[in-house]
Amino acid sequence: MIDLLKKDIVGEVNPYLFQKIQTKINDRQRGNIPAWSVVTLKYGLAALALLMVFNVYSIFSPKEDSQKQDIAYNKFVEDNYFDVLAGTFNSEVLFPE
Amino acid sequence: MDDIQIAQEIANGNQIVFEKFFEEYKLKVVNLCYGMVHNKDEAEDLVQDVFIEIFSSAKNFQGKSKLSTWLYRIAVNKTINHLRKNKIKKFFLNIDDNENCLINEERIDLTIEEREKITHLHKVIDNLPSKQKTAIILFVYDELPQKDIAEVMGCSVSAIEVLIFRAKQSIKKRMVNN
Repeated sequence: MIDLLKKDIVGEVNPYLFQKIQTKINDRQRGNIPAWSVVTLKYGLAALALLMVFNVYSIFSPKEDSQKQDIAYNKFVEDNYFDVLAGTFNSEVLFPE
Repeated sequence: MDDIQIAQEIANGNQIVFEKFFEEYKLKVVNLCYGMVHNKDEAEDLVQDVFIEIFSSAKNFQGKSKLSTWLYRIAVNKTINHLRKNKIKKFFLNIDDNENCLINEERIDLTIEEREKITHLHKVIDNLPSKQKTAIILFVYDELPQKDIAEVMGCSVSAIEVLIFRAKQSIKKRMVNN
């Protein structure tokens, strides 16, 4: 079996293989992008994605803070603080002609 | 010129040294890749990638191993990655896995019977465990001594002996069964 496999060994390669390699190396060197810019781009995209995820999360998550604010406002109105506050202004300011 | 000097010259862009190095090892690397992928065109594409990698990372060669060992290690890793990507591609595109095993009809030096047997051998080799496959290919296609194979694969010589022995046994068994 091994002898048969030895017959399968490649004896020659494309004579232009080295030229192809050189061309590819030259192309890469010509269009060489600095590594730091790629890293910056990667981190930038990751940050953007995180920001988007956070934004979507904050839209759909329960708004505890605003609920707390609503409760405090309702309490304020219930306790007639609004009327007291309105009393401190001149009637011309509150009801202009 | 020792291995570190060669690597330095390649890193400095010395085309003559790089070409000499390429000429010295091109057939070895082609055969290693061919043994793994069983397709000469794909093997030559892989050889290009391997030598481009050598050119671009020659500055990182520290001389801890032989330059040839380093080259083989890069070639083995590139080929394994290529096979992995191909496997995923074939899975999604629903391509027959045995398609690549067909031996090139340009090989007029082989009889039809030999071609058929080799095609079958390719299939058997593909079904071997990864380490056995790499070891047997480095042993048969590259004709590397077991000590060098051990260095490339990062195993002991005795482990390589076992891998090659088991690979040969498996190949024999499966060829007899079919």
